[in-house]
Amino acid sequence: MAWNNVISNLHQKLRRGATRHRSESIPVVAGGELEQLSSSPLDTPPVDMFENEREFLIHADVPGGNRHSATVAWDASSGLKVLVKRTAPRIGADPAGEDGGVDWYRALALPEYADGLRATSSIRDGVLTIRVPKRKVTPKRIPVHSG
Amino acid sequence: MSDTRLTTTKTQPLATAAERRKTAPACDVYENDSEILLVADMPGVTQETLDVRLDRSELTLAARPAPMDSSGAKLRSEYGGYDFERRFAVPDGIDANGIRAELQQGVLKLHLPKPEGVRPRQIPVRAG
Repeated sequence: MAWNNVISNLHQKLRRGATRHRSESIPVVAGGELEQLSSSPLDTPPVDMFENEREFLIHADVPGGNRHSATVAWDASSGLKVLVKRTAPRIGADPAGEDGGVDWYRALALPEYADGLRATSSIRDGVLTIRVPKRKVTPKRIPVHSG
Repeated sequence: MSDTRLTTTKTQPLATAAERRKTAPACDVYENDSEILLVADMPGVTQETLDVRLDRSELTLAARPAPMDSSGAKLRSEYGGYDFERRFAVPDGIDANGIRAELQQGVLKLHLPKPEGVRPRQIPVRAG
């Protein structure tokens, strides 16, 4: 059997099977509680977080998540909460599982000057991106009195 | 019946700073009468950055997730900046030309059809 042909065929099938996904926007809802309706166990998705002059930028690995299965909630006192449900394929024998059958959940505390009510989020290729703008903080001058 | 289980090799993270770190994607393997289904978590991976190879009995998944916007100071770093790689020993008799691959939402599904010889068959019984 020509293995080059096998590899080539596999790539063609992957091209056919892959769907180009654009980034899907997810509304950020107000309120701190996220209720888990399914009985799936929860896992913590890994997160990268950046801060620049304008915003906090957060990326979370949530493979299998999409805009219908992801919820992002903001509460001023407790910060951001993310819940992403995923559906594991059910065929045949139970797997010695490593990834399937878990929902993703993560809570992230942010500083007071994070404006969560203006936060936006989107998901693409299993990566959730959240942008939380910063409030303008007016520097306060501290008067200094000489003794 | 021949053994159709997949055996796996997890790639260890590389210690050299010159290369990107590598990690083995989390995988589930399902099996029914007609196929083995391999499900691999590969967040951030697109079709263009994914390489699936079958070389004789070794199946290799390798991928480089697309770089994400990382503007600003890094406050927390838990997942960024690594590649995926994992190898599987494919059981004999898998129909290589029948392998089907799907990539959706950062999850790769590989359907590996079992050979006819190992599929259970129902034997019709006729009344004498």
